[in-house]
Amino acid sequence: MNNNSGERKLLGPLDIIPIVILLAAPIIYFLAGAASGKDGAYAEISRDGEVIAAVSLGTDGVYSFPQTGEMEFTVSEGGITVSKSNCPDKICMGTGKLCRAGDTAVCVPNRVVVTVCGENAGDVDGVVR
Amino acid sequence: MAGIRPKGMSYSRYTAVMGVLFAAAAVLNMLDSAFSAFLPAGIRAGLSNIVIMTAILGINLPSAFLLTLLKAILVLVTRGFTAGVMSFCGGTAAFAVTALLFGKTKASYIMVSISGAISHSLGQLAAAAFLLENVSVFAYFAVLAASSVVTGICTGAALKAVMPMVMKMIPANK
Repeated sequence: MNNNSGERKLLGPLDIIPIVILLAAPIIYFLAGAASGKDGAYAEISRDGEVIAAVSLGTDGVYSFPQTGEMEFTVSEGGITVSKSNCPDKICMGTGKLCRAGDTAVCVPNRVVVTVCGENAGDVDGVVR
Repeated sequence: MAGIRPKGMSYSRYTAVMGVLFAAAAVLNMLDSAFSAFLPAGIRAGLSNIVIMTAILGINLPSAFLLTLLKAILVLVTRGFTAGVMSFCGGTAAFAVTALLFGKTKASYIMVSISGAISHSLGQLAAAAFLLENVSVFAYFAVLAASSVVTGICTGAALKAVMPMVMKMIPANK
């Protein structure tokens, strides 16, 4: 395998194809979500795979639940954010506001997932891959 | 240890080389954490993967996997259980894909780096999906795929630049 290192290129001419496809992935993903995704009606908050609460996105408010400890969820203007968490990396908070059906924020240390759902529950499987 | 040391490399040189590589991985891992504050949620630059790729090309596969394990233990100690498990799963997936592409193909440095970064993300998402018992974590993949391209270009270029210097450190290699 060491013999390869001399002739191995830094970048091959065909490499541009996967690079462009992968760079376009989030753009296509978000455009597809914006085009087909419905505004969310409610958010499901689950821990360890079990739904512990469904929160309507229609009324503003701040929520916390015994199962999610110090986490706080804020609903405003039809979207939900994780507004407080005791986890180290705060990825759940950094994900921002979830508005459309299928939008998801995850807090792995707390084992908590927030998923926005549309009018009927059957929507979700179609949006989240 | 004796089983994984390359033939023709003295014990003391092997110890020193592995120590230097692990120290480099630890420092780059800290840089990753520092940079992640300026990046969108969940994205890390993955600079410490340069060290694992260096070991795959310059030493041997068992040594590179040992460094992957040590890196996961370092993350476990410094950033907690969840991060440690995710580092282990991501690191193992990236190690397997990187070793395969370097060993069996002529794929370019940047393509190997990008593939390693993507498999690292997939390994971590699989770990997260398992921990959470919820597959919706894969919604993060689109963003991670694009960031893997950016980070893969950087680490691939860095790898090609440092390889000649690392090979000088390891005279056991032909």
